[in-house]
Amino acid sequence: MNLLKFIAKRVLIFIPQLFAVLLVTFLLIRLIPGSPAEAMAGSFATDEVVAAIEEKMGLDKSLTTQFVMYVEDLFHGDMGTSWYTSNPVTKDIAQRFPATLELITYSLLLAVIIGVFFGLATSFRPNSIGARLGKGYSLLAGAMPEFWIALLLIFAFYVTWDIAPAPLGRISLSISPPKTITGMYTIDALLTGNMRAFKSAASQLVLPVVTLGLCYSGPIMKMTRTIMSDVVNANYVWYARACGLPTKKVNRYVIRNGLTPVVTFIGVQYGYLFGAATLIEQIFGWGGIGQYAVSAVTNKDYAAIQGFMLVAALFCMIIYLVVDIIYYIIDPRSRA
Amino acid sequence: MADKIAAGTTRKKKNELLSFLRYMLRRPGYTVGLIIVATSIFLIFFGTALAPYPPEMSFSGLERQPPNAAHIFGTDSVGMDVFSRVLAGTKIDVTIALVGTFLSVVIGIPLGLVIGYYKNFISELIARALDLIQSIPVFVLAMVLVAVRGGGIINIIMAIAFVNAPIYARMMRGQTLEQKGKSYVEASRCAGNSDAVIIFKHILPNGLTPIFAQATVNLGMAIMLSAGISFIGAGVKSPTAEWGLMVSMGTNEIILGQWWTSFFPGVAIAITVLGYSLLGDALQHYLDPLERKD
Repeated sequence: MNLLKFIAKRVLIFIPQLFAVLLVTFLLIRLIPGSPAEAMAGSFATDEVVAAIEEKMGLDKSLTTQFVMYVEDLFHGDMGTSWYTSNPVTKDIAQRFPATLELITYSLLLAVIIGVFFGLATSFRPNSIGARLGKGYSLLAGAMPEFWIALLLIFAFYVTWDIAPAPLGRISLSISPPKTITGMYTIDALLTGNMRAFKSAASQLVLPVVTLGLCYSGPIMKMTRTIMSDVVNANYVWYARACGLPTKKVNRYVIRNGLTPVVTFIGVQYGYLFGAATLIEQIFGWGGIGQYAVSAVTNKDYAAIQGFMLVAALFCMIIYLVVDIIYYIIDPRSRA
Repeated sequence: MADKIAAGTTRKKKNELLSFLRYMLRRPGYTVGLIIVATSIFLIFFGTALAPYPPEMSFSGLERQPPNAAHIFGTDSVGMDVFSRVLAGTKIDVTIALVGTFLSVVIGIPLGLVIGYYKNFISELIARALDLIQSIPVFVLAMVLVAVRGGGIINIIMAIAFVNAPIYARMMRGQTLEQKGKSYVEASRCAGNSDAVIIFKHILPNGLTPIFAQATVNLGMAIMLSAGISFIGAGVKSPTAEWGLMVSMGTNEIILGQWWTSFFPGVAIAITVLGYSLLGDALQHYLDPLERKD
């Protein structure tokens, strides 16, 4: 019952947050020097053409009216029309979102496995060689740009050794994608039992997922180690040891207490991966919303940029919501 | 008396800097960081002058040369010398990061002080807005800002300042909230000091050091951010010598097996970011009284 109450309360906070995000994305596009209509009409347009576009977009109305219109449209699922793809932005994004979600979810899983495992392993013996190596790894992983690592991996595994598929999209060109259920190829292929498609989709995922996984495991490892080494030296741990509890049992206390803040941090990383995916999708021709955003940025496709920004912000807010709920469940202290 | 105290504090500060340098030089890892940072600062001013060729000059007929004696890092797809461009790129990348981070600190500190010191509806609203901005992935926000405002160095600097300022504003706000209730602040108010004196003379110095350490760590992140923005084609334009753009210019050559165009600028980014991370790490450890042993 308490849990439901907490969820209800947390969702209530979500509503003003949502409103604020809408306001920010709305205002951001107004930062364009001059009017977006001028940008859309091009530099040779006459004043009449610009005025006509302004009227069509509702730019001649007051800022508040425009905002009300924007929110109204959004609740009807309308994020405007991309002038580059000439599709509704909602449709474009809905089509591409699963590709990005699939990529960053596998990447997060890999990053968490590497990061938490080595973070834990090194935090119990802070001066061992392993701990030093772990420290060096997280520093290096944090310093190397993900787009550069992606290129190095392509060079090594595709160009030189030819054991990875070409970085051209989510599935081999000679294999038709599985029937769309979730839009995530690996899952759809498994659901429809299409092993050929699954194998191809999985092998296409390897390099981008390894790139992001390597880069993002660094910060997770560092965070895990920092929190763990605090917990290892906490008074109650010394007390438990002094009472003669077996090391295994003490370690269980330590992990239980130390991993809860790590969960929040992992949630934040999920959001960051969304940003990093733009760079990686560009390199691997992934066709997700990251690549869509990059093409929107280069083509000054403002409706698409606005839509991308909104989806990215919403994605993060939902992640934080879920993380807060998980935190509530696993950490009894947060229930006080 | 007052002069003596002032002299004493400056001497103490000088010693502090010296002892921090000594602290770094005693640890090989941090020494490496120090050397990298010093080199990067040096190259901001002299990188272009040290380059063997003009960084934006293309040698026709010498496109895509692998590393050799004349071009030790090879040449790119339009025949520009990669080594010269990597050296000259320091100026753009590190300057953007330094100025952007500096601006974000300069905006963040007073904002944090004011919204922490004065508790009312507006300050609460600003604090929530900062939380909101921070909840959006940094790269997404910076990319959208640059897309909307247009590429170019000034706009990248502004974007970096904007996405990072909330970090320092929040740190400073937290510090202000903590210090505000302490008795020395009350005493100062009783002595008739104005809010401005209390804020800037008493509360500000308490929050500066952790912010300074955080900013050093963030410098590396800022380099990565601006390189990423130029990599996707939203930042500075070719033929400017900028590391992210150079990596991106080499993406097509990588598939052909010509790795050098993208490889070397990426190494430059990684080494520089590592240097600033090490410096920030050293600063954080040095300032932590529990961990410091000398």
